[in-house]
Amino acid sequence: MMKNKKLIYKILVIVVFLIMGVALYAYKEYNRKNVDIADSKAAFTLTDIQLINEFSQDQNASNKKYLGKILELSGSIKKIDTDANGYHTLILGNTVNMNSVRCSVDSTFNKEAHNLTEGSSVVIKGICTGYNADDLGLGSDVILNRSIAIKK
Amino acid sequence: MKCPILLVAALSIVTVSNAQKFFTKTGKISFDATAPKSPENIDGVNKNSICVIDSKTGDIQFSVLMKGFEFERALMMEHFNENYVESDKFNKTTFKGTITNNESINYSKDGVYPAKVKGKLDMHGQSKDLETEGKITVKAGKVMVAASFVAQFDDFKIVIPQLVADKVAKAAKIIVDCTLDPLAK
Repeated sequence: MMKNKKLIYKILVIVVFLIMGVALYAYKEYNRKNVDIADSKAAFTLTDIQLINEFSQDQNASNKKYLGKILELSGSIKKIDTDANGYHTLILGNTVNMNSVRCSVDSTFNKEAHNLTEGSSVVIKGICTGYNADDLGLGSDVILNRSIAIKK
Repeated sequence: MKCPILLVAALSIVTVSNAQKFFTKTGKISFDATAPKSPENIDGVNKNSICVIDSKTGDIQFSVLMKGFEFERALMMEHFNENYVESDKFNKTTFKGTITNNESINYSKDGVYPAKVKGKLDMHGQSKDLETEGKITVKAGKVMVAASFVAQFDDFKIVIPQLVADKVAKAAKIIVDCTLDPLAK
């Protein structure tokens, strides 16, 4: 009789801990924030021109390779776009053609982006979200989201 | 002394009214799939949408990269990409249509014009006819497009798992907010 009680007690304790563990995990997962770009390691390091070339040569393979990944990109700023709400997009690439990498600046970095100038070179970290081929006659673009400049 | 200024002003007016196409690569398209029983808002925004309008023909086109939607919670973003829109397989959503009342919109005169749009929405590998109304605002040579419409998940074969069926709406309200610049020739 005593033995049985001890066993039930032990099982109860284990079950309670398991439930607590699961609840904690679920809570953490649910509240998980987007990855911090600044603290995350880039999956690929390359130049803006390399990235544009890879996408224009083989879109499907590049999509598989880069989509959703953090890239560290060195290149030169062709243009800085600022929208009506004051958010910046850094347009990297070669000025001789219309193809570019468009890096929309992360809201945490928007203030610092004021100090960047057109024509200067930068190193950008951001998440690659895709490629727009030049089907509208506006040049093709690789898109990077939540970008930050890590070196000027 | 005033002549050059007038000339520049006149030239700039000519270039603005001559522009036939308007475009943006930083259009905002957001969606809201919050159901009455949702524990929180289910919404995301894409700030890199492409929109092109041909003011002569009334042709209007949108192109949105599905991976480019931003969410408050990382988990919501993963579910959106992996389970619902399957953005690895279907990475782009496009809309191609025409503004049916294009003749009543004067793209070279500031003003707010109601616009009717008819076309095809391609999403998640499915194509669906779409008709909606919106607003086109012409201001200082720029064209602002604002519209919202509802996309039923059934039409695009987007399946919401039974377990969360009452926590996610059966359709998403899509909100379009784009400011287009004249395309310099």
